[in-house]
Amino acid sequence: MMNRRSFLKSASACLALPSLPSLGQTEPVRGVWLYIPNGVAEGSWHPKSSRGVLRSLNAAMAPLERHRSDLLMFEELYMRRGNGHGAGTATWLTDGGWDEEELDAGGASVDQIAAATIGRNDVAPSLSLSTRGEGFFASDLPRNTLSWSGSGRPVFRETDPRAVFARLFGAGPEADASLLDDLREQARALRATLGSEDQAKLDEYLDAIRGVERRIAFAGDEATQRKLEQARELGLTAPPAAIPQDHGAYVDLMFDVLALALWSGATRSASFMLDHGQSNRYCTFVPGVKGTWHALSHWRDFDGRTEDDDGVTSWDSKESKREMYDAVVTWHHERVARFLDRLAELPAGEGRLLDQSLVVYGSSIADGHEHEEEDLPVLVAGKAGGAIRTGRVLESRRRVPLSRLHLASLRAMGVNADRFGDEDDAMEWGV
Amino acid sequence: MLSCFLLLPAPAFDDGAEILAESCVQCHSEDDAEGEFRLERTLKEHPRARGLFDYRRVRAAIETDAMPPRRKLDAKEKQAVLAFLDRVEKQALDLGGGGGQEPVRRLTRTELGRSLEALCEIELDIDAYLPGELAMEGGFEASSSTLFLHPEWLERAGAAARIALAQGLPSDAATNAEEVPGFLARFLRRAFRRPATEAEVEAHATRYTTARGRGLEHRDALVESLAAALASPHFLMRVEDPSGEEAREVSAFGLASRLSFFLWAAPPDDLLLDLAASDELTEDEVLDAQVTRMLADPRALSLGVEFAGQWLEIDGLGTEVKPDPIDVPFMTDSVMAAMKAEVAQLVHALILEGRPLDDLLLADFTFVTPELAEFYRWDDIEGSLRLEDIEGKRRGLLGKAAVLATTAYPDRTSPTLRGAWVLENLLGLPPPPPPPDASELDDELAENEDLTPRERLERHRRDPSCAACHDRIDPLGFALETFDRYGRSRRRYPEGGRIDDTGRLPGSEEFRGPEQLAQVILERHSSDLARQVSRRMLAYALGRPLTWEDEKTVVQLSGVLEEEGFGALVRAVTHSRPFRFQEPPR
Repeated sequence: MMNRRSFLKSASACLALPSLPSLGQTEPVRGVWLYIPNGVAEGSWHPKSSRGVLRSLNAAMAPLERHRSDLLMFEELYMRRGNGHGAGTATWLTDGGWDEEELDAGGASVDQIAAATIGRNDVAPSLSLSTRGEGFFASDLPRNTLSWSGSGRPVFRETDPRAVFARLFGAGPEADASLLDDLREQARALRATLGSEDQAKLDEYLDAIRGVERRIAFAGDEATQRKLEQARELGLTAPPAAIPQDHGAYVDLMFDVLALALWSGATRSASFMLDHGQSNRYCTFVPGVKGTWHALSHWRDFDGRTEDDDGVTSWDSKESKREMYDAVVTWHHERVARFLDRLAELPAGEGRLLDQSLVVYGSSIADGHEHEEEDLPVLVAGKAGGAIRTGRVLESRRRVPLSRLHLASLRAMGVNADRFGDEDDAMEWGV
Repeated sequence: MLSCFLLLPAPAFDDGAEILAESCVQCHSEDDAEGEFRLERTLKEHPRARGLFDYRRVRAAIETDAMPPRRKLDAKEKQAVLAFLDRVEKQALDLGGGGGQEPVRRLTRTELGRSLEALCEIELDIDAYLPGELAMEGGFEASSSTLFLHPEWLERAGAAARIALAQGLPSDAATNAEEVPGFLARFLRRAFRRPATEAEVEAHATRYTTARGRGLEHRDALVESLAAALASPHFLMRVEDPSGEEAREVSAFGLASRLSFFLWAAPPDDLLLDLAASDELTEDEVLDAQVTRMLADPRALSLGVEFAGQWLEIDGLGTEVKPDPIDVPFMTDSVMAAMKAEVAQLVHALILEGRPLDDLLLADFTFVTPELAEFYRWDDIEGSLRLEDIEGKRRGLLGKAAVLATTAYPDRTSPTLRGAWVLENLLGLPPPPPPPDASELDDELAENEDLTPRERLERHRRDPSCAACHDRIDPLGFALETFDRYGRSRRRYPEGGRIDDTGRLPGSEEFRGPEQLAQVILERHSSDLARQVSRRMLAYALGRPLTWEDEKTVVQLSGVLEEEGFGALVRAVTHSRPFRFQEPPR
């Protein structure tokens, strides 16, 4: 990889050329929401702090220690309408109630509100990523859906890094404007014959046509091609055609393509589920760990015979099982830390891309065994263009609704939002 | 919808409903409902038949005393509540029977793949182009409510179509420019599943001519024109002719699509489209003859693969349920595929041969590969074949590895999971979720390492609040304990000791092993089984979740199934009102 100085040199060479249309005068703030399933064991999240200053991270969060000065942590965040693996995942970014019959997560998710407002002209108004599921619930809708463009409208989620890359930067089919116009006309004519509920399905088709047009224009843009060239020099290249067998390599690739999408200006709003909301993935890729993630999260049942465990995998004690649960979570912290390294490496405006970013990372469950919805493990990384003062803990004795964080995130991204859910008070994180 | 609304009586004073309002809505409130079950809203908005499915959940909880968790209802209150629930059931049957198909949705991945294969006369691995569909637990993939059309999907469907066209054009493809319009008319009819208008044929012919003008060869220009057709909403989406103000019979072309997507998970072929063009398809005898023809076609195996696979929730075997290949070397991809194929072929055979309902649990024939036969420890066979007169415990669904392997935890059986699978998927009687304080006992039991799974569950059932449900769930699974976590035969528990495969349901004689379990289910729950099969098949055929209005149709269908068997059930679905009718625009 290229060192930072030579990278900056080539970057400034690039900046001498006309700037990207999507970047405009000022760098937009990029919002990223990273979800980790199955919670974090009690006592494995909270840092040492004094008078709101983040002194040192929890031992289980060691990989993120190197980013401490870029982190903001919280106390007493909660989801007012409960959690659970299905409902909690589906509503983490809406903070609404989950209605299974109506497929309603209580409204649009925070990333999608940003996408539909300030991001609506981006080539990808949003990106919604997830790792490919394994084990039970891998095709269950609520456990696999963070992002909702509206009530009952889950957003397409990408699990293949190569497909994300191709979607944003690939040449794709030739830009055939007449075909797209023609298809649009067909859909409009068909739509006119339908009732209002069915019209919504044709609107999806029409939106899809618009999305295709945007992508073709972006991929063909010279500025995009230049950015890609720069990225290649940084080691950010087109991912391989197949998803890597090694899970760590897979997650890192997803993060790389995400970093590239944010940096190139392809999107400013993205969510990534590090795994689905009740991941039953065998976490044997983490040294010293046996059993599935969800089983491990019920760490107080260690004999391997309770409903959530897997029979033959037994653990010697609660303590040893909990150590493995922690190890799995810490392994994922390392992936996130590596992503933050990337964002710190990439230049944006006067500083680093991380300074222009707002990375929310956490879970909808506190301790995995207790299934708690109180004092959630959630943190923010990045300064959101100066809106956030990092290196701190926002102390609180009272419960703080997650909606306040979502509202503050929207405002930091430049969305003119009065309220989010039931909340019109935003998190005060700039003072 | 308006007429139905007028028929429903206004919320009236009702003892049973009052008791529910007093005892339940404090927790099951509108805003902050326990278990996300909003009984308050149901009582307020749908005091009768329209709340049918919610009231069935109430019944399951009340009958077993699982709810209310703290202050149980006394006998008199319970009686009043059950009387209310009975009235709801009756009203649903009195007033239901309407409802048509939910018309607009995109094709599923499977349907798209089959359509491209049929149009281009090739084989295509569509899974390489599009991700799997997400669905709700217990729902089918082909459901308008969970199928969304995103830009990414549109592009990748287009990419798959181009690959399909590059691999092969239909055998009747035009060989020169003069033949192009005629060929396009035929192709568009297949792609749009109805005759193309003159304007549509002309537009695609123009696309061909323009491409030739750009210097493309004949064949490449033809591909350009066809690729445009395969990106059209008329191909990618299922849209029927919208009807007027009132519900009316679906058009003949609409019926052709409904039939082929139901029986084949694929688009209608030329014969079906011809019969639709002449309007003969809507005649009962012609329709029946077509159903017979279609069931005999290999494409009808989709009823086993898609319908049964999703209904029985075994379709995740090999993908979602995938044992570690190093620890469990005998669970190969090919043997797991054979397990799923076994159930698919069995269900397909039950339909094709018009077998009786009992055969779902008792059929003495099955379909195995040599590898699966070895897995079952049967005699060696050569090639894949149908075996007759198989051993008793493997008969019907309950002895099938695909079912047994997907209703267990990794490396351990769970009588509770298997029992709940029977109740939920076969009988349509899902057990209510455990009461809020249920997990405490688990902790205590978990510490005790000397117990077998069966002993643990028996200990668990000593607590009356657990026993109410587990007495109905676990014994079903105990009878299947002679199968291990993968569905292999076993005599001993891994912890040691001979398997105890006896069970007893409340009020039943003791039964032992899978065969006797099947007998007990058929004796006690034959009509529940028939209704559940009918319910799932109707939902699959309609491509939408059922509503209270469909329950009347379900009762009619289940009568046919019980009297005349599986073939008659499929026919009855194709004659049913919701399958043949279309609702006015919503």
